[in-house]
Amino acid sequence: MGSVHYFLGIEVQSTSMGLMLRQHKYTLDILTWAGMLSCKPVDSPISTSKATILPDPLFSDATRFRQIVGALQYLTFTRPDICFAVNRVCQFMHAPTDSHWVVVKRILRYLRGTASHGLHITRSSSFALHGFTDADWASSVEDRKSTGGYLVFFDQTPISWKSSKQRTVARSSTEAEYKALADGTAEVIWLQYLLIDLQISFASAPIIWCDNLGATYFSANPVFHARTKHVEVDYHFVRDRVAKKEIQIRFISSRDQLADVFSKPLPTSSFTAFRLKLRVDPPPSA
Amino acid sequence: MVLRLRQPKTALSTATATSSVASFSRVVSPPSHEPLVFNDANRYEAWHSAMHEEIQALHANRTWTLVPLNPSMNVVGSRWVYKIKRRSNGSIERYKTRMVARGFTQQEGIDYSETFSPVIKHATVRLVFSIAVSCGWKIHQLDIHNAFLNGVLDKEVYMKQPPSFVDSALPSYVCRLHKSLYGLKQAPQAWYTRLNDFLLSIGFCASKVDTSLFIFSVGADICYLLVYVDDILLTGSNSLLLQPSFSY
Repeated sequence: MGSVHYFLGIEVQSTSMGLMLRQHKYTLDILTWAGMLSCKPVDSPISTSKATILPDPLFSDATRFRQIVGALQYLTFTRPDICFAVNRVCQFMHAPTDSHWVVVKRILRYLRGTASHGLHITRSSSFALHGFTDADWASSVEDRKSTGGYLVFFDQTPISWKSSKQRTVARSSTEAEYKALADGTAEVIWLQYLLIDLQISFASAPIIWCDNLGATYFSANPVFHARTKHVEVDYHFVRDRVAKKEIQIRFISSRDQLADVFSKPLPTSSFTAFRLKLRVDPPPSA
Repeated sequence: MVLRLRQPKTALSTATATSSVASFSRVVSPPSHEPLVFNDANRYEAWHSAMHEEIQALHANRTWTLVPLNPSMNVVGSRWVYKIKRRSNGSIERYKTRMVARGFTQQEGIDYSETFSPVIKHATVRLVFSIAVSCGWKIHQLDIHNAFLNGVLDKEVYMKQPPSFVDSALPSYVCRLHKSLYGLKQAPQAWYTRLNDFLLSIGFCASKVDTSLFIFSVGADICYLLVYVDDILLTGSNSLLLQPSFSY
């Protein structure tokens, strides 16, 4: 038995602040495999320009697409910054086209520049959970479904995140936000049960930050009910947890909304700022 | 603390008796690529001795007993898999061989029933890392060698004798497997069940929300154990971790 330094392909390194989890070797292996080791790096994993629907030929080697995208999925273990972009390309696994391959290559180019980055786990002063949820309404040009995402912190360290296309079409941005809020709530509640099993006591109910005022009001008061009957289950689920004081929902301005990076492509400047807050850092200098 | 999950290796006389590989001079240094078939591998001393070691380990583990073939049995095949293990600098660490069962010929309901084996959730790993860092706990890693070979089979599974290691006295017999082998449909599930039973027997509790997380607590001391198939992490308040070994 030894101290952990390599677990599930993840390099564990001590830093002055705590631990660094990195998949440096794994990233380089993917880049080598994809023949992208000598590509030109870019600063963000996904372009902000809107995709247009053009007649797009199917990508010649669908298996290769699936293998590389599958490999990228595991990389999100330590890289929340690519979670949104990887989820986006995962949506085309069944029939990838040439333009989808361009999106994959963009992620690989981003990784080329940030291969040594990893997730920084720092010492927590208080054992408290807080989450962020966000949605990009009707973002999918093909079917107008929205993209939702959440991010949950354990004090200063991000421990759980997700980005996904919502399963049903939302008729308003509030509805999309509310669905994301329900997903985030379910995750926070699961983590609370996990903390109970781990016998870690937490003082206050976790706060979930949401940047849509409508969705925050919703969780507290049964207003606008007629317009939202079809989101009733999500609605009651979140309302119930708030009423039982298991969670709190608060409003946060979009600028500080950390789950933004899980619901939409961001320009480089704000992406880099968010990445810092996601605790995805370059390795500590020796 | 030592968590020994590997059966102690004992030299069994049967191991030498079963070998029917003719001895002829072998090439000492094998090529850098991995062989695909037995005949290709057996020409090289490194692969040959690795296969012998593997067979001996299987015998020591009492993986199977030879039984007469019965027409009602579904007999699965077996084959060798070869892998060169390299260090991070690319130099060769060892030549690894594995006897695997051709599980794809197993029939559901007859040869296996349950196959699901849980693995730890990513969020749990990160949360436990975060707690360990905050509490200043060391995180230990356990390596389980040949993890799947520890699994106990609850169904009768029969396998052809390994290619070129056929018992010369009983060539028409087949192996009745007692322990699981890599390649069997139920191997991960059998291993998880065995480990789960063991951990519960020594006082761990399984988490209700993530069944690959085990918790051990005595008074104010607590210890967490995370299982990802054969990769195991262990952390907790130190006084407990430093207690004498529990062995299997």
